[in-house]
Parts: sequence; structure tokens; C-alpha cells
Amino acid sequence: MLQRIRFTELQLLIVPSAMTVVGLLTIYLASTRDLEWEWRDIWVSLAFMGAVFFISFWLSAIDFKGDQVLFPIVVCIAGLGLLVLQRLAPDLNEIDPAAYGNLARNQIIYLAAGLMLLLGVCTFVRKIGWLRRYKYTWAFAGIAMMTLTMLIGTEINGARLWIQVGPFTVQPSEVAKIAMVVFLAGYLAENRDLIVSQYRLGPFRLPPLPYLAPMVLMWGFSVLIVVMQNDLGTALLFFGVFLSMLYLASGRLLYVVVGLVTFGTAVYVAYNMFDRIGVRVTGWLNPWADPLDTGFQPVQSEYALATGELFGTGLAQGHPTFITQVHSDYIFSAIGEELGLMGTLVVLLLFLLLVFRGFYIALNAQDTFKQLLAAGLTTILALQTLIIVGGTIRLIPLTGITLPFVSAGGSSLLTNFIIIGLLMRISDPTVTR
Amino acid sequence: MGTFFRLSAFFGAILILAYGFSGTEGQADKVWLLLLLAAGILLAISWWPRATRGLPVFNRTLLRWSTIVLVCFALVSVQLVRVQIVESSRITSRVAVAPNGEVAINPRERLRALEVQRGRIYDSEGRVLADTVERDDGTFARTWPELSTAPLIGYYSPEIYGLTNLEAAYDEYLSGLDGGNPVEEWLNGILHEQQRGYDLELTIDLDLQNLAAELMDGRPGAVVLMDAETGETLAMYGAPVFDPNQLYANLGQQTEEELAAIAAYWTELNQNPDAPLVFRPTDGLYNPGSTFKTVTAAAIIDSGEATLQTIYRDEGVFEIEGRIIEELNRPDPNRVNWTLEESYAYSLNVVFAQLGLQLGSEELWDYAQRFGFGESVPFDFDTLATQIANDREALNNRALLADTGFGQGQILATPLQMALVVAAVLNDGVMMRPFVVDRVIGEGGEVLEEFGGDEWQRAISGDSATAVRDLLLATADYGYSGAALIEGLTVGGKTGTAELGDGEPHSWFTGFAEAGDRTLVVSVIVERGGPGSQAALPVGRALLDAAFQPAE
Repeated sequence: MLQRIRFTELQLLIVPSAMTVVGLLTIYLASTRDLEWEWRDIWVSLAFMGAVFFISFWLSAIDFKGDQVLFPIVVCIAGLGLLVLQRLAPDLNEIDPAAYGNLARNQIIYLAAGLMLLLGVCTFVRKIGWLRRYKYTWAFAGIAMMTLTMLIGTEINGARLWIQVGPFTVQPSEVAKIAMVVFLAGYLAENRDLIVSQYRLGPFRLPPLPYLAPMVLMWGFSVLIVVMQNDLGTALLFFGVFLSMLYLASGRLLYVVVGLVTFGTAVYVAYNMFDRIGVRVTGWLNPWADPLDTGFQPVQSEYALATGELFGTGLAQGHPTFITQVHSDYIFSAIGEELGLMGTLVVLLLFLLLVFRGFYIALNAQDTFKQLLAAGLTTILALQTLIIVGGTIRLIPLTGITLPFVSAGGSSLLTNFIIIGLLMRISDPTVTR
Repeated sequence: MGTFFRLSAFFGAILILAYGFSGTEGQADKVWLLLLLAAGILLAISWWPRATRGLPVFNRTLLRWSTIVLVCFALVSVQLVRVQIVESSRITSRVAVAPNGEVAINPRERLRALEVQRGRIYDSEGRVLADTVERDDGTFARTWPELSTAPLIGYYSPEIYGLTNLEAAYDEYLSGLDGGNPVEEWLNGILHEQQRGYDLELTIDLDLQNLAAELMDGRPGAVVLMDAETGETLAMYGAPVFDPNQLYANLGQQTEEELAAIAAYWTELNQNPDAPLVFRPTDGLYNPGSTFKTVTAAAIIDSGEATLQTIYRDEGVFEIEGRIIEELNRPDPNRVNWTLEESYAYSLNVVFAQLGLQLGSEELWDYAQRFGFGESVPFDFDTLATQIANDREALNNRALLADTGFGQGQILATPLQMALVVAAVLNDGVMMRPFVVDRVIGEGGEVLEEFGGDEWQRAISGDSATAVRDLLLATADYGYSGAALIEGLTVGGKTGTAELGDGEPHSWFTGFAEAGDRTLVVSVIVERGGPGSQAALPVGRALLDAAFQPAE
């Protein structure tokens, strides 16, 4: 029995869970400016702590042999996300109760649901192999969801990314990204040799065009997202994941280069055709020229980040809510203001650890499908982090994409926990198929 | 790839980044982004996985892909360092102007200005010149109860128009960020304690300042009264004044109407032809007229080329390279031989034109520099740089050299600069650094910092200074500054009349009074006031007189 217990994981969970408790207490004390507090004031963190330890024990109980490092890293990031949103929610609520009244509560519900999903994936999805059998179904489902969004989606902030389902707004692209990775992993694992092969046509050596057809389709689809949904971020993410998986499977740099160049050209054309993308580029290169309109958010974000300096103002001691989109696109700036460079670098480091652990799992996976699946899922997290953080600090144009586990948003949180669940499942050496 | 190659790629990347940090501004500067890209490529080269040949395709490609991801994370970190550390202070205080003219500032600055109880400013007797009062809602508002000192202290309008003069120069002290116990200040920052700024005590005597205001009676001009031996400024007044209370703005505290009134007042001040926002004692540049003759005389004496008794000829007209200088100041038009002392006392332009030529451009330039001309007077806040001539070559023109000798030409001086010229003469040839903030006082009344008593530079030797002092005394004794004499005091001075080409000339007076071991110098200009003895001299005399009256 004792060998079953996941000691590494338990030990690694101590610091992150303690951090959420102390962090929430800090936020509470800082906002009340008093030293009086009761345990129920920080019930959210206590519940979170209880949940993560429960999950760890549960995994021990079902004799789960998967990776023990991944979960603590995720708990640390998600714990930080929990803190930041619990800290922002009251201030945002004061600004606009109609829009942000449920922010804190929803975040807790989504987090709980996410943890449940993770647990569910680890417990019930015993074998991964079946996923590949339905690869075309996944691809079709993904494309269908995206198409549906384009047709009947709700537009928020000028981007059409959401579908209204009863009281919820669902962001199908979040689910679609998993579907896409599963499809690509399955397709590439199966046709890998063919894709690498070449055939001669006169003096030319050509790639096997027929087998690249689905790939070209993917390319077209990504461009379509940019054009139809005005959503450069999701397109960049989809296309980046697609290109990296193609490279991982084939080892052909040429495909990547061709893909990048053509995609870049398409985006450039779109930039000249659509105002919204143009606005993004101005907001990236010179927001200070228009600090009250198009440049408002980038300028405010920059003030926030610069205010943080090395150590930050301290949780709940800064004023990140001057940025209006602080809970979603600009959550990283809130971390930068209140936790300083130390905080932002730690967050980056955590994501880097997560990504490298994911790649490590991919390296050790048993077959090509699992390898590609693990690498693809990890790449989603890596690219999402880089795209949104890079946009926040103006390395690239800002695109509306979530910072995994941190930004507000249910679809994203749930999907990311599924990704972690799948990665942990793949890392289980005892399941052979 | 060899180790050497990798190492050089790595250091190349570091060098590129270092160059980027120092050579570019703003984190989305296109050059900087390109440098980052270049650094990223070099980093990728130096970190590229080794010996991947034997590995299966997936392992090899995954290792490479991880390297690229790692490089991207590294670039993001570099950019974070740039935003949060390297450019942090530049960004937090950055002010941006929208296309419609509206100004965007960091809203945190506004909050800080609201939360900190800004320190008071007192005169030398402890009378409040600038105050911070608490309002009903717990926030603070700044007020300036004394209008005569308001322009010296400057306006404080962090929201809209910024800060000037003392309010700007001592902002850190007044905000309680610097000057006290550094550990305590740091802890206050960390713990977000309510800040109480430190107080400033000025060397200004409010009575003298108010008297200066009264004497100027609204005429544009400036008055500087200072202690020659210490550099203490007892009065520093510029007219016309403006009311900083009407420029004070904290958004969110004022209503739209109040803000509109502030903007209207600002526009009015800026459109006023008398430019009330220019603080004349330090930022008013005037031709010094005959008051500059003190410098010329000091130069000729200190260089040993003449004594007080050296005879010069003044035939009523002097011609140099086509420029005709007419003598209007001789008390006896039939007399042609004058000693240097008489020439100074009667302000003979023809003699001083010759003195300029006798000195030559090099030496005159050199002495003017020793008296502080050609640069900014070091003071509590930035002052405008004065000038001798447009440039050094220009003074080689002999007509201009002659003009400069008697104080016309291209010379530009501030009233503070002219006060310092006399102060140097009275302080054995040494110019003290003028100052107006005496002490920084902590919350408990403890003195945190004291200023003053610093030398600026030596202008002339002590002996020469004594001789030049005699010139100033002679001018009051039998020359054109006779009206400056005060019963019971040793008084000397020099008037000046700066011709402007058209209209009334500027009226200057620079002088001093001594009693016991106390020497005060005064510098007065009344714009378009006519001859120096008419407008400026009475102001200077009355001020010196009052300054030596025993306190009641």
C-alpha cells in the first residue's frame, strides 16, 4: 500500500498550496487594512488546498503511476491565478457590478470543475490509444465547432469567439484545439513515412502532395479564422501548433519555412484589409500616440508593469484595475504590478517547467501517437503563454488569448485541465495501449 | 558546432542586448525588436542541442523545438527586465498626449499626490508659504497663502501642468521619499504607511518679500536680495505674479467647471504679454546695461592693466570700425580726462568702450566667465544660462567688444546673476553659491538636511575686490547712485539703463549695504522703467534700508 503513495507529488504540493493560503490572507488583510481575520475569510484557498490534496490521495488510491511533477506545477500556476482573480474581482466589481459581479464566484466554480475534469481524465480514460481511432471524427468535430462559431457566434470586443449555450458562453476554439492536436497526432503518426518521402517529377524532387492535403487544409482554416473571426491569436496558436507538430513528425524544416512564409503573407494582406488587425499593430508599435483610445490598454498595462519594478507593490496594494481588460488579456500586467519582476519571472519559469515536463513526457511516451499527442498538447500551453505574455509586453501585437490557468474564462480553464489530465495519462508507463 | 563558436554566439547575444538597452528607447522600438530577434538567433545557436544525429527523428526534432521554446521564454524575460526595471521610472512618469490634445498620465501618480500629505514650506521666521490642508474626504489639497512668494515656490499641478521651481526641485523631500531615514522611508513604502512629506524652511524673509512686491507695484521686473558672504537669498521676487492656487488640480477632485476654470486661467497666463509664468529673477534674461561695467572694471583692475587713478580720455564721441559711441553721461561736457574711478561713478560709456578694447576679447570673455557669465547660476532649481556674446568669435568684432565693455552688445544676464557680481566684489572676490532652501525639517521638527555656505567660484583677487568695492562706494558718494545712500549704513551701487532700441529702457540697480559684519546685496530690474536711478534704485534702496532695520 505504502509504495502506492505519490510522495514526490505530495511534497511538491506543500509549497504551492501554502502559497494560496498565505496569499489570500495577504489579500484579505491588505484590503481590510486590519489584522483581524477568521478562517472563513480564506475558505477559498483552504478548499483549493483540500481539493488538490484530495486529488493526490485519490490518484494514489487508484494506483495511478503517471507523472508526479506536472500536477504540482499546475497547482502552483492555477493557485496564483486564483489569487490574482480573487484579488481583482472586488475592485472590478466596484467598477462595473453588472459585468464583474460573478467573476470571483465563477472562477471558483470553473476551477473546481477543472480539477474534477483532471481527476476524471486520470481515473476513467485508462487508455489513450482509442483517441486515434476517431481522428477524423475529432477533426470534423473541431472544424464544425469553429464553423458554428463563425456563423452563429456572439461577438465580444469585436471578436467572434463565443457561442451562447443557455446561461453560459462557451468558447469552442478552446475545445477545438485539443481536437486538432488529437487529429494531427493520429494522422501524422500514421502517415509519417509517407510525408517524409519524396517523388521525382522530371528534375524536381517534390514532397508527397496528396498526403499534405489535410495539412494545406489546416493552413487554409487558420487563415480563415483570422479573416472571419478577426482573431489573430487563435489563428497563430492553431497554426503554430500545426507547424510544430508537422516538424516534430517529419523533421522537415522546409515545411515549416513554407508554412511560415505563406501564413505571414496572408496575415500581412489581412492587416491591410481589416481595421481591427491594423489597430492591434498600432497598439503594439506605438500606443503612446493615442493613449486614450486605441492605445489605452497597452499604455495602462505598461504603467502597471513599470510600477511593479523588482518586488512589486504587494498583492492588493497596486492599482491594476486601471487596465480595463485586466482579468483576461492583461492579467499578466496585474501580476507584474503587484508581484514585480520577481513574480512575472517566477510565473514564466513555472510555465517553462510545465512545458519542459510535458516535452519530457513526450520523449518517454511509448508510441509515436502518444509522443506527438503529448508534444502537441504541451505546445498549446507553450505557445499560448508566449503569445499572450509577448503581446502584453509588446514583443508582438496583443491578441485576445488566455494565459493558461490564470486568465478568467471557464472554457479555457476546463480545456487546460483536460490537457494536463491527458499528459498525466500519457505519462503512465503501466498502460501499454 | 564547437564550444568556442557557441560561447561567442552567447556573448554576441549578450552584447547585442546590452547595446539594445543603451541605444534604443521604448520596448517596441523597431530597432530593438530586430536586435532581440538577432539575439534570439544567436542564443538558439549557442544552445542548439549537440549530437542529435543518432537519435530517432522525433527525439531530435523535439529537442530542437524545446530549444526554440526556451529561447522564446528567454526573450520574453529580457523584455520584462526592460519594462519593469530598466525603463521603469521613464515609463511610470511618462505623459502622453492624445491626438485631440488631451493628456494621459499614469493614474498612480495622481493617487500618490492625493495620498501623501505634502510638506509645508516656511519662510525664515516660520511663516507658512505653502501648506497642505486635509479635506473632508481625507484627501489633501495644496494651498499657497502668500502670493508674493508663490512664483518662487512654483506651481504644483501634477495632474495637468506639472511642477515648477521649488515644488519640482524638492518634490522628493516634500513627498517624504528622500531626506529622512532611508530604512524608514523604504519600510513606509513597503508597508504603505500614510506618508507625511518633509517641510522646507527657506531663507526668504516674508516681510522683505512683501515689501519688494509693494515697491515693484505690479511693474514687470525682478528683485533679488541676498547675503554676499553666505549666498542666502532674503528676497526673490518676480512680477507680475500668478496664483498657483488657481492652477492646482487633482482630477476626480474637481468638477468639470473647476477644471475648465483652471484651463482658462492657464490660457490667460500663457497669453498674457507680460508672461507671468516666467520667473524673472532666475529665468528673465536682460541686457544688463551699465551694471555690467562692474565686471569690466574688475577685469581691468584684476589684470593689473589699470588702477583706480589711471586716466582715460573721453572726448564725447568715440568711433570704432564705423560704430559711433556718443557720450551722454559726462557731468562736465568740457572735461576730457577722467580717472577710472570717476569714469565708473559717472558711468562713462566712451571710457568703458576703451576698457573693453584694452582688455581684448579673450580677457573680457575670461573675466565674464569668472563672474559666472555664459552658464546657469547654480541654484536650488535650474536657472537660465546667461551669455556674454552669441559666441566667442563674435566678440572678436571690435565694435561689439567696445559695446560689451560698457554693457550693451549681446550680453544677457538674469537679475540673480547681477546680484552675484556685486556679491563677489563684497565677498573678497569669491562668489558664493546662492540658495533659498535653508533646511529640510522632519515630522518631529528635527533638521534632516541643511544647505548653503558653498562657494561657487572665485572671480577676482581679494585686493582687486577691495578696489572695485571703492568704485561702488564712489558711485554712491559722488556719482549717479547718490540717491541710494542710507543713514547709518555703508552703501554702494551701480545703476544701469539698458537701451532697447525703441521705447523706454530697462531700469537696473545693483548695490549693497553694510553694517557691522553683515553685507547684503540687491539687484533690481524694472522693465521699461527708464533710467536706472529713477525706477530701480529707489526699490533697491528701500529694500536695503528695511533689511537693516532692527526687527520689531
